[in-house]
Amino acid sequence: MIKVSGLEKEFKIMTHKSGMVGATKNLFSRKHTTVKAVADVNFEIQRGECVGYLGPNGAGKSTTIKMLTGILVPTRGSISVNGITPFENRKENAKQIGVVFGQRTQLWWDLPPIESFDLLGKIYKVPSSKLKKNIDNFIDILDLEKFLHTPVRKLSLGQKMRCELAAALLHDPEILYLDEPTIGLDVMAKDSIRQFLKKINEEDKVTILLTTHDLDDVESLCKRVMVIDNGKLIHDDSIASLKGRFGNYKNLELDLENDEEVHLPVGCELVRRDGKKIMVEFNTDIIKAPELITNLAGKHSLIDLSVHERPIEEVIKRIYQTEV
Amino acid sequence: MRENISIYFTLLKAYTLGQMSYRSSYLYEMLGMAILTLVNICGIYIIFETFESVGGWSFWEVVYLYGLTTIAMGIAQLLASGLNHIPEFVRTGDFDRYLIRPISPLVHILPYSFALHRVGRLIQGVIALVVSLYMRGIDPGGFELWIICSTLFSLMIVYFALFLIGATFTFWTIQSAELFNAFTYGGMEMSKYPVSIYQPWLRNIFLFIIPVGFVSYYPTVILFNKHEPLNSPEFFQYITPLVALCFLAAALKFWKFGIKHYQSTGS
Ligand SMILES: Nc1ncnc2c1ncn2[C@@H]1O[C@H](COP(=O)(O)OP(=O)(O)OP(=O)(O)O)[C@@H](O)[C@H]1O
Ligand SMILES: [Mg+2]
Repeated sequence: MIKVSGLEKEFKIMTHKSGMVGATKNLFSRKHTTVKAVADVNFEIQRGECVGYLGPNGAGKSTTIKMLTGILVPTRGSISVNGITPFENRKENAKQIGVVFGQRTQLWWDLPPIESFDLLGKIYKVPSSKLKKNIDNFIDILDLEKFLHTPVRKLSLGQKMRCELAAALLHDPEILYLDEPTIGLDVMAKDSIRQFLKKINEEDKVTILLTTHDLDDVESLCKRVMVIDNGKLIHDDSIASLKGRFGNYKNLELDLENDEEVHLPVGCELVRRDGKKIMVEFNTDIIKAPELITNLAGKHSLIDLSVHERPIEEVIKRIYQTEV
Repeated sequence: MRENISIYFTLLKAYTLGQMSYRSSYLYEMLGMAILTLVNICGIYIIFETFESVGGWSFWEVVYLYGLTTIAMGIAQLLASGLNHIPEFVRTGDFDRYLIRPISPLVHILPYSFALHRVGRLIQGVIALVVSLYMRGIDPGGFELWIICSTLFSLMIVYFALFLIGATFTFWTIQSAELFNAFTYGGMEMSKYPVSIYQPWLRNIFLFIIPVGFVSYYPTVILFNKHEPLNSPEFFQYITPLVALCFLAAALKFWKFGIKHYQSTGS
């Protein structure tokens, strides 16, 4: 459905000189530095997938999405979305996609959401019976009723984001691009948005590509994760394999009775120590949990212990660090 | 096309309703404009006091050109006022949203603001035009009306295209756009007089590169039955709407090209 190959984007940044003379020179000078925001990215996304797109700040996530949506023209490489090249055929592409930028509104600032929906219906040429059905449906599942007639500029972030989602989906797009849709939202709001996205992905088979810095978004929604860093795709696989990428690691948390020195067996590493509380990371290919616990219990007197999967944050942090 | 026009008006309605309320300064602006028109026409009059005629054109003939220019510029500004937002959209990255819609970004942006207060200016242009025709003793029959209307139409199209080109330059730098707009307003001043009076190099720019002179000068030559000192081919007098439309087509091409250079913003 989406096929991206050899995708690159370079930004030319003019070197600005200051002052009157500098400003005049700026007008004619071609001096610039080049920033490579996306470098040789390749991937394919199938219909109905929900893919998480991760990476540290400035990695190139938004730039990729802007090329997929047709906003930016790639410097090199090709994109095909259902056979359409977005930047060459923006209008055709626009009909089949919905876009939500968490940092930016698609709605009309001074108009209430319901009027924005009507305008969008006109712009996307959604038949009016269909439009009404969709609007009613979104009012219902996203719970928009209360602020439907309030100008968008007066809505809270969470209310606005729910309207943005409805607005992006009014024309029944096959693909939904989301760039940080949960940014700045509280736990409740995040949760309701995740549930909504899960529903449209599973029931309506909407293909979703989602960037976020909140890994809970990814864990609750996506089976597949792509990680980009410095413009390069450094991982593209299932969440499980992402976790297993550095061997199979788990975390052991210990509460010691005494504040004493701890000698760990091979395959273990002390992650953090806070007095009598200790966090140990161990590789299950080298040492299994029961074995490690027996070992430590033999040497120290323990008050409490617990074993955790390595949280995905840790994994991601590792990936970013090793790639730098 | 019909759909685009319907969307244009729907958006126009949605935007202007919100704006109407806080425009109580209309009256003052209109007054200011009226004074400006008077000053302009006095300026023309003073020139004629000294020289009798300008390049063989009489006072009322030049007032006619002034009226043409004012009306055409007024309508073009009215239609293009949404373009004034483009520098801001480009700077903030808000232009993004117009590129992910299944309609042309222009249809989306043009209705964004509609500078109704410019209507006052238009009315003054109409008055100048009608009075000049009357004083010059032109009795508008079908032929004259056709010439006047097609000239207005062509000149308006050319100004609109110039605004569009100016807006497109913002995809590169804001300064280049400002530089270009100097041509647009320069062109407006030029077309208030018969282009035959200018230096050849200047004249040729406004005849053949930025055709404001072309579309206002040649048809007016026929209207007033003037001697044409440039010895241009006669068919020039009849192809002005075509020239204007070609210029608009070129401007639209440039606009599409400019969009490909849009860089958005980093955040
Ligand atoms: N319009 C632009 N002009 C110049 N440079 C840009 C532009 N947009 C992005 N960049 C640069 O390209 C790189 C990638 O930016 P991008 O916005 O794609 O990152 P991101 O992965 O979305 O980061 P974040 O998580 O902070 O949103 C950065 O170095 C950024 O400075
Ligand atoms: Mg981003």
